[in-house]
Order: sequence, then structure tokens, then C-alpha cells
Amino acid sequence: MQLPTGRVGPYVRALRSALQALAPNNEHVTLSAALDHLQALDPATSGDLLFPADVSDHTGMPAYTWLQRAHAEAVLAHRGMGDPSDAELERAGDLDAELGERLSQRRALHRHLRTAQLLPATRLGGVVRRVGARGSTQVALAYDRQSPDARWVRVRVELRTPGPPSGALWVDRAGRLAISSSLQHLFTRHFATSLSALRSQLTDATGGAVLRLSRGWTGPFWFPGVALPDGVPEALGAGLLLHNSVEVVAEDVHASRHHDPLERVDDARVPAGFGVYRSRRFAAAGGVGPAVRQWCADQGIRPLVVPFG
Amino acid sequence: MASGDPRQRYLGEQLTHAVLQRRQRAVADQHTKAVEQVAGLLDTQRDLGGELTEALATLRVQRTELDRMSQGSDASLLASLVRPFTARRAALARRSIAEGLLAKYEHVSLRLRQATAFSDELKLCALELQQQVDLLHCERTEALQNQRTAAQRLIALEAEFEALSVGRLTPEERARERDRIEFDRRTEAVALDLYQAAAELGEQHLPAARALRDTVLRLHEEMASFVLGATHTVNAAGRRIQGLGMLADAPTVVRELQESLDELNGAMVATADYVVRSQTLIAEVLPTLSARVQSVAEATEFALQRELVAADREKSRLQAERALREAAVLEIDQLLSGD
Repeated sequence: MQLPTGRVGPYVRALRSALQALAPNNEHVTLSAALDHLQALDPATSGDLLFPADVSDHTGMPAYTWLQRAHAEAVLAHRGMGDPSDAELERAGDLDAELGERLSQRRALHRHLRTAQLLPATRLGGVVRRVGARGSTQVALAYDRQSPDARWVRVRVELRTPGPPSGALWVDRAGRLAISSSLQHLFTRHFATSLSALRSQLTDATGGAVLRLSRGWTGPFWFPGVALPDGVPEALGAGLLLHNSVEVVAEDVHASRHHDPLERVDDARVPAGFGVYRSRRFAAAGGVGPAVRQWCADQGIRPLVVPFG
Repeated sequence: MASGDPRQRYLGEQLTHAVLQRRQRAVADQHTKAVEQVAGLLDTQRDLGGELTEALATLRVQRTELDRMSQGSDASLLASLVRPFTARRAALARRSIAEGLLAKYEHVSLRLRQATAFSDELKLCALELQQQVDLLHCERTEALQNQRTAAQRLIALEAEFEALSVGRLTPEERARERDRIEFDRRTEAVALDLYQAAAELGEQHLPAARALRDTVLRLHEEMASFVLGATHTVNAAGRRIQGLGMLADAPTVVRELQESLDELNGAMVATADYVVRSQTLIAEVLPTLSARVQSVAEATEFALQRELVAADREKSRLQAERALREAAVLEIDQLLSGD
């Protein structure tokens, strides 16, 4: 859907407030990047420069095309072409008020983008955690993506290689972890498959032992007009409701727990010695808090609801 | 008595030879600066066009690769898309189509944003040039009005001069009045000369200013039209690419991916046409425009210098008389037309 002009600002600010209320940890995409990105989309910063405001019908999250426009502007902002001065903007405004306004908005947007972090379309990063005997190395990987359904996802992996990493991962002369683009391609193809399957693929691809694997989703963001999944009470779409969910497969999860009222449980392929943990938190406004609590309670799940706005 | 009709005042700044020369230089400088600016804009447009053409070529390569997969000419590649992972080499060897598509989309999107910003730059330049055209019109209108005022004052002075012979004045008074009227008449004749030159100055520079404005307007219109068409297509392709992202690495959607690339390709083909047109503009229009502006500036400067050097009272008197006749004719015309 495309948001009407008058609803773009309230939408972006509501999503920012909801994110701030949830304050997601590092299992999710970086909060500051999400907030900076949304600030760029806010008409208070960029006017209508980044319109149309495309939003997913099914998740209520900003669409890739909308977010991508901010990325493109960020590239232009960093090229250092120089911002127009106040006098130049005033002169342009005298000649054509609309053009002057647009140039002024572009300057404000570029100033913001020069210091902003943005959500990547896809990105894989990693660090070396520790190096043990015979070069055994523990590394942490984080793969971020704007998923096809417009939710934001981070897949985190802790893995240990039996010797010095080689192939898709290696340690450079400065001691930093280097990652082959082929591994990013693998994540992009399989970021949404079950964690158990992803774990075995990563094991095959890196030759290491996966110790911990998590996937954190930011979104959906339900509000009137967003199509709710089957089985979800309509009352949950009557206000503003941001989801933040995480699933973890790890050796240190000793007892599996399921606190997610939306995702079905399918732990048939959880590897021996691993546990699974799932939870979903909500930021609620507009009177949907009680409906969410009731929905969770009906499924025997302890509700984790934070009010915002 | 002040010279001429005191109700008729000159408009604007008092015109002198120095002021007129200053105006001429200012207009010539503005035009030279504008030509440089237009040259810069054309350079940017050429660079931008080159980058867009490059993006087009990359997309074509991507499309060819998808065709090859679709037709099964590379059976091992197509088969590998559905074969489960069995080894590290196989898992890492396979590339993500979604990654490739996103990278291409980002490249095209960046060029489009650049074109959008450039379109605003062109519009601003066109507005500034239009303002120069407006200014030349205003100065010309003002000069014509002042030329008429000078002519009317000269008519009044002529009448005063005629009245001297029938008035009851002493010989000394008559001589003093004759000197005053003669002085005023010569002053007004010079003013008339200057306002005529000012009007001609505006007239001569107007075509070059219009040509500059029209060139930039044409650049803006073409760029704005391209941006409008491409934005819609690129947005549609972006939505499709995002929607297909989840399945992009399955062979079943190769056909849809091809369609996405075709949409982007369509935008890029339009870009290629646009680039060709803008290159023609760069190759043909700018040198002509530049030569025209320079020629007008030189001719005006030369004419003005010649006029000012050659200006003497006798010439001014003759010109004033001609202007008087023209002004009288103009007034009669206006009376007859009821203005």
C-alpha cells in the first residue's frame, strides 16, 4: 500500500516510538540504524523527497523501495557536492517556492544522512571471539536483511572452527575476520529457512561447529489497513502493534521454551544437545494492549507487552 | 522653469554613459557565466547519461544469464538450484539471484536519485535565466518609456523656444532663456540618445538570453520527463524484486525475475534514447549558443563604444528631432487607437 501524504509522518513517528519502547537487543537489527533510517523517511526531515511511502500490505513495515531511496540519497550526500547556503535556498524559494522547499528538504536530508547509520538491504559482518589451541577459532557472524515481506531480520551465528578458519572465513594479517561474499550469498538464500536446516548448511559451508544460532525479527507493525494473518483476532489490528520476535537454537539453551503466540512450533529436527527458545514482544498503542494480552493468555503464553505513544 | 513637463519623470536609475556601459558589461558577464553554467550542466548530464548507459549494459548481462538458465543451456547451473547441499563447495559455489538483483536495483535507483536532483538543478538554472530575460524586458520597457519622456520634454522645450520670439521679454531676458532652453534641449537630446541605446541593448541581448533559457528548459524538460517515466518503472520493478526475494533462488521464479529485469531494462532503454539526445545537444547546441552569446556581447560592446565616442551635439540634435517625430507619430497612433 502507499500511505496518503498526511499519514506518512504519523506512521514513521509511531514506528520509531514503538521501536524505542521495545529497545531491541543485539539479536535484532541495530536500533540506532533503524531509528536513523526512519528519521530520514520522516517528512519532517525530507518532506516528500522520498515518496511514495510504500508499506507492505501484510506486515505494515516500510517497503524496500522506500528504504532504498534513503540509501541512494546517502550515497549522494557522502559524495560531498556541498550543500546550498541559506542565501541560495532563499533565492531559489523566491524564484519558485516549491523548488526552494524541495532543495531545502534535500539539504536537511543530506545533512542527516551524512551522520546516519542505515539498515542494509543485506549485510554480513563478523568478528573473531577467541583463538584457542591449534588455531581453533570462535567467531560471531551477524547477517542483516530487509526481508522480502519488509520485516527486518538479523541472523546471528556463533561458531567454532577446529583449526584456523579457511575457505569462506579466514583471519587477515591484522587479526580481523574476513568473510567471502559466497557466505553472504548463502545467508541470502537461506536466511528464512528453519534454524535447524540453516545450522546444518552453515556447518557444511564453514566446516565449523555452530554453537549458537538466533534469528530476530523486527515487525510486523499492525495498524488499521494491514492484512492480519489467519487466526489473529481483528482487534489486534485496531490500534498500533509492533512485534519483536526471536528464536534461538543453542547449546546453552538447556530447556526449550516457546513464548511466541504467532509462530507454530516445529522442533522435530532440533539437534541433540541443543535447545530452542522463542519469544515475541509487543509495543502497543491505541488501546490494543488488552487484546494482545488476552490473545497471548488464550494460548497459554505469558504476554510481553510494552505501551508506547 | 525646469526643462520639459515636470509631471513627466524618468523611470529608474539616472542614465549616464558610465551607467550604460556598466549595464552592458553586466549583461555580457551574466551571459558568459550562464554559458559556463550550461556547459557544466551539460557535462553533468553527459556523465550521468554514461553511468545510466553502463547500468543498462549490466542489466542486459544479467538478463542474458537468466535466459541461459531458463533455456537450460547450462543444465548443471539450473540443476544446482534445486539440488540439496551435500558439500561445502556446492553450498558456497551457488550465488544468490536475490543478491544480484538487489545490487542491480540499488545501482539503478542511485542513478535515478541523481537524475532527480539534477532535474531540480536544471529547473533552478532555467528560472534564473528566465529572470534575466525578465530583467532585460523590464530594462527595455523602462528605456522605451524614458525615451518617450525625453521626446515629450524636447517637444515642450521646442514650444518654449518658439514662444520666445513672441513673448514680451527684454533682449537680455530672451538671451538668457534661449541659453537655458538650448542647454536643456541638448541635455535631453543626450538623454534621449542614451535611452535609445539602452533600449537597443535590451533588444540585442534578449535573443541570446532566450536561447540560453530555452536550452536549459529543454534539458530540464527531457530530464524531468525521463525521471517521471523511469521512477514509476523502477519502483514497480523494486516492489517485484522485493516480493520475489524470498523465492528468488528457486528456478520456478526465473521467468518472473526476467520480467523484473525487463521492466528495469525498459527504463534503461528510455535512458539510452535520452542520452543520445543530450549528447546531440552537447555536440551541436552548446558551441552555437556560446558563439552567439559571444558575438552579441562583442557587437553590442563595439556599437556602444562607437556610439559614445562619436556622440556630439549635432548628432544628438538630429537624433532628438528624429525621436520627436517618432514620438509624435506614436502619440497620434495611440490617440487614434484610443489608448
